[in-house]
Amino acid sequence: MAGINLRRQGNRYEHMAAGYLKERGYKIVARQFRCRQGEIDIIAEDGALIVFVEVKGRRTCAFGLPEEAVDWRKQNRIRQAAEYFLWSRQKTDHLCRFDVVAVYDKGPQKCQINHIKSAFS
Amino acid sequence: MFAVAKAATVLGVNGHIVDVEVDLARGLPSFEIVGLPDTALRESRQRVRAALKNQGYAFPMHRLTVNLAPGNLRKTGSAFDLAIALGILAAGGLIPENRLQDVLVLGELSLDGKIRGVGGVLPMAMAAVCEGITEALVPVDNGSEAGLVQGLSAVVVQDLAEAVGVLTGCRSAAVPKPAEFLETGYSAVNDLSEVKGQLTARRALEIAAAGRHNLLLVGPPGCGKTMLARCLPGILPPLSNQEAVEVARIYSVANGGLGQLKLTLAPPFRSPHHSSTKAGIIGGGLLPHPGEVTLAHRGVLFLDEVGEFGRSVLDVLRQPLEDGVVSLVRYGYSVKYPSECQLVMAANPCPCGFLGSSIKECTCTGREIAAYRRRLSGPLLDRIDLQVWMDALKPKDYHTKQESSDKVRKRVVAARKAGDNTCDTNLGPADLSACARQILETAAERFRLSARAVQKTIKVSRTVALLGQSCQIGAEHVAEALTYRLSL
Repeated sequence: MAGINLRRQGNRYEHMAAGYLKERGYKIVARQFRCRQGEIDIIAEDGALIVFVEVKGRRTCAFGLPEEAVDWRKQNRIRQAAEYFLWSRQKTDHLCRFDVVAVYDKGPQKCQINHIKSAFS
Repeated sequence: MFAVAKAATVLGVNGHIVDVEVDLARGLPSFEIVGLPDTALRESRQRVRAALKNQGYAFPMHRLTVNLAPGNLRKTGSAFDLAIALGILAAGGLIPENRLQDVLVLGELSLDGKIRGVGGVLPMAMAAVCEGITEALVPVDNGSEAGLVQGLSAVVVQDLAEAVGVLTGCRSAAVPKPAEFLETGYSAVNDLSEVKGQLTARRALEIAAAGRHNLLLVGPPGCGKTMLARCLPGILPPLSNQEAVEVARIYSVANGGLGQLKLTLAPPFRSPHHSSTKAGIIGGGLLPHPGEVTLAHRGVLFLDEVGEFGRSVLDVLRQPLEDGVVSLVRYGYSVKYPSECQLVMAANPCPCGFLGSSIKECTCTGREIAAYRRRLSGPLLDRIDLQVWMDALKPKDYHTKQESSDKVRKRVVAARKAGDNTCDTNLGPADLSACARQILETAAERFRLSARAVQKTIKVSRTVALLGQSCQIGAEHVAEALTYRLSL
């Protein structure tokens, strides 16, 4: 695996996930939203609902499925970052949802996407 | 986006109504329970979430806060699940908001939304009536308990969807059959006709039954102490309906809702093993749980091989025996458990068991015997009205025919009735005949009896008199009572 740029790989997955969401009528509000509390890969709007999306990709399932990698620590960081986002945009009275988009990377053109809605709360 | 449901928790053997307030607010989705919940109650979040989903209801994407009021009362157990789930649905508008106001809702949810039985439904339902609640939704397992309570129309529900259906009126309610008073349980214990010989001990047992006196049986191994003690519940009069409910209330709390509650008129009989701890005997734990002395309320607490019990374990019995109530104090609150039971103990006279017996020589040293005797403290022995020495059986006694429990019970019932009619529990020396008083005074002086011992001797004399259908306590009654106190 040495030599592969993980950052670029991650960006590729996020890009694919964003495309997937756009196709399904989501409006992308922000990508790679960062603050002290943590980072959110994609923030989208599904109608009036604000959706916080964590993207996880894997090339092999030898170490578990990608969606399994979003553990409670990661969830907590996302939750806190989401709270900061809502405060900073004065949107605390909106309904929101946390999704996970898992990307199974099986080669350049053969990626499979699994969108888990309301993956945690 | 707000709703209140009524649930209840148990403190001691009393129910307390708890308001389950549910608020749905916008913002980050979360699910919090506040208001001093214990661990089982905090875990209720996972059960409620899964149950709602699996019964086809969407879990709200809101900031969800559940408050259990009053806030200073500790809430325990899993009986709140159903109330929380229905509160969430009501706050979401699926159930009319004020529909839950006068309904007691009890039940634990399984992950698929089925409703499981819980402990303590009987005291909770009684508390509900006191608070003016007229309806109740309870698990199928607890239907008979809730149906027992007057003034409460209880409905049993199988699962969450059925509960919602009943509340919105689109499903008919299943009314449970109230528990019936059963006189079973008598057949389970030994019958007095099986006990051979031991005429003195049989007589003492009858007196103990008639007057609710405490009893100590001492004798060599194999002489029938345990068997005789096990006969005692069989000759006690059946409980009154009110007493049976009192007992059922305790078992409703203690059983934790495992299966249907049995409402038996047979007095309870508890025989804890001698390795039992203090908390096991009088009740205890961080969240107090009734102990054996409470489970024996209105019945018999039998301590077999009493010399093997820890001394401190026996001594904690002193206060509950006297007061008829165990009061346990914990940080911030205290609970009271009823403990009006009759104490029966069986013991060997020494470690080898044969001291004073006619069949074998005792091999213990004086020091061993003294140490063995010390395990029964003086203050505890002072509370035992009837102390009986039982010798080993003679071979010729093996085939004697003896009275059955039913016959003895009839005499006991008659004596109790006669005692209730005179209705004077604080029988003083005034009711003694002059001759009886003289015997008692002489004995008290000669044997240095404590004031309590004298008082208790009078009570035993009274029971002996009642059994003999006599209207005054005579010399022979006092004499017999004294032999039971002094025989050891």
